[in-house]
Amino acid sequence: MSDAPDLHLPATSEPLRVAIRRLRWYREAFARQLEELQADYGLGFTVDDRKLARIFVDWLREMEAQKPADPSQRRAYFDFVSALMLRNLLRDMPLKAEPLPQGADLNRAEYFWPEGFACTVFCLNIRAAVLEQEFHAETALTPDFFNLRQWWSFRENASSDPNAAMGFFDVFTGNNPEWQMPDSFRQRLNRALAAPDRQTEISSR
Amino acid sequence: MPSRLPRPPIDTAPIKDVARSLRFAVEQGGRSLRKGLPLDALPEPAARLADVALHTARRISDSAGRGASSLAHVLLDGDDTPPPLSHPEEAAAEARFAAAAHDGLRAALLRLGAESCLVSEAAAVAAWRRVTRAAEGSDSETAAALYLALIDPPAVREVVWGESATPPAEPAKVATFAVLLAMLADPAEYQALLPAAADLALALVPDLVQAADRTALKTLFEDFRNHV
Repeated sequence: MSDAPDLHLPATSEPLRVAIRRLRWYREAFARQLEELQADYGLGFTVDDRKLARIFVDWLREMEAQKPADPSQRRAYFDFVSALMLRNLLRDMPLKAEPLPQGADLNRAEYFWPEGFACTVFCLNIRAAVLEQEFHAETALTPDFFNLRQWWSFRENASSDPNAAMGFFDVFTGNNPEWQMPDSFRQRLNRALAAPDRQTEISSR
Repeated sequence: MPSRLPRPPIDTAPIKDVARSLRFAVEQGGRSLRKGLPLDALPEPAARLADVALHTARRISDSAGRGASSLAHVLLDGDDTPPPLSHPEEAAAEARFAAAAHDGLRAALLRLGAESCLVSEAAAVAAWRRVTRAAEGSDSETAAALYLALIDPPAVREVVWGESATPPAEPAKVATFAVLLAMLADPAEYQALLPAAADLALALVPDLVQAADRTALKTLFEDFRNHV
């Protein structure tokens, strides 16, 4: 992903879709992302490892429960589980940001909401890396990712309903967002089949 | 014809347990003494006497511990990885399992916030014997049986928590599950996997509390062995 903060993933001999489902690798990748944010933006965080492990276990279970049998749905499923990972991270937030660097511009997303920004770029980067490896697909972020109004709305909505984070994740990745039942993969597929061209306006949210 | 009969294998676990129990008792005694009776505040010669007594006791327990440890290393031939649970018949599997279980249980308990703990390696040997004598089925089934055998009678004898620590519910179960999960995940990477296995086990406390029988435990091991 060229236009979001980088993530140099830990080495693995396994496909990324397998490695990300191992806590040791997941944790290392998450730590790497935080290091990159520290280097690029001066953001510091403390991580609650126990909380991160619980988030990981919940994510595994929800992901496994909704795994599609049809191989043609794999691509959509990877988008879904990436958004689900973000939902769980934001819902149970394992990060606490340290004081911002001096002169930090609060009109930039990374300083406006450091914890949310860190979790979001981590999930975006993991998704991008998996899609590239599995489908040779290039990914890009929409302009909404760089719009502070979106981040303001994202933070507000996600704090009252963590599921809303999944819709915003879709918005940032250019996917058609599902706002009604974002944590149901089946609902997502049904909706895509029923109205493939429908684009939901999020400005009203 | 050989002039001497081959020596029977020596079971070092009880020797190591004695040395470790002694060291644990000395450390605990010293800790209690320092808490209840500050040596700095004692008048002479009482302070000096107490100090000398503590140092002597620690020296004896350290020396016993070193002796037992070097004996164990000679016998284990430097292999400190646990045996694959799918092959309990491997050479020195019993001793390797017991040593790895002892070290792993300690490491997991410390990861959970314990300040100090006493784990019986002989109990791990006994658990291994009990389970592998009647072993049938998959390695996950063996892990489930070992879990129950390490919990009762308990291999974790004592755990001391620091004043600021928040002990989890059922710490011995959490540590035991973590050890066996790491062994199942990859015996060669056992040590490196323990912290993640301990955190996973901690996240699974509600499941561990509920999983009373071997079948439920086996399912839990199977569900998470590839996710450490």
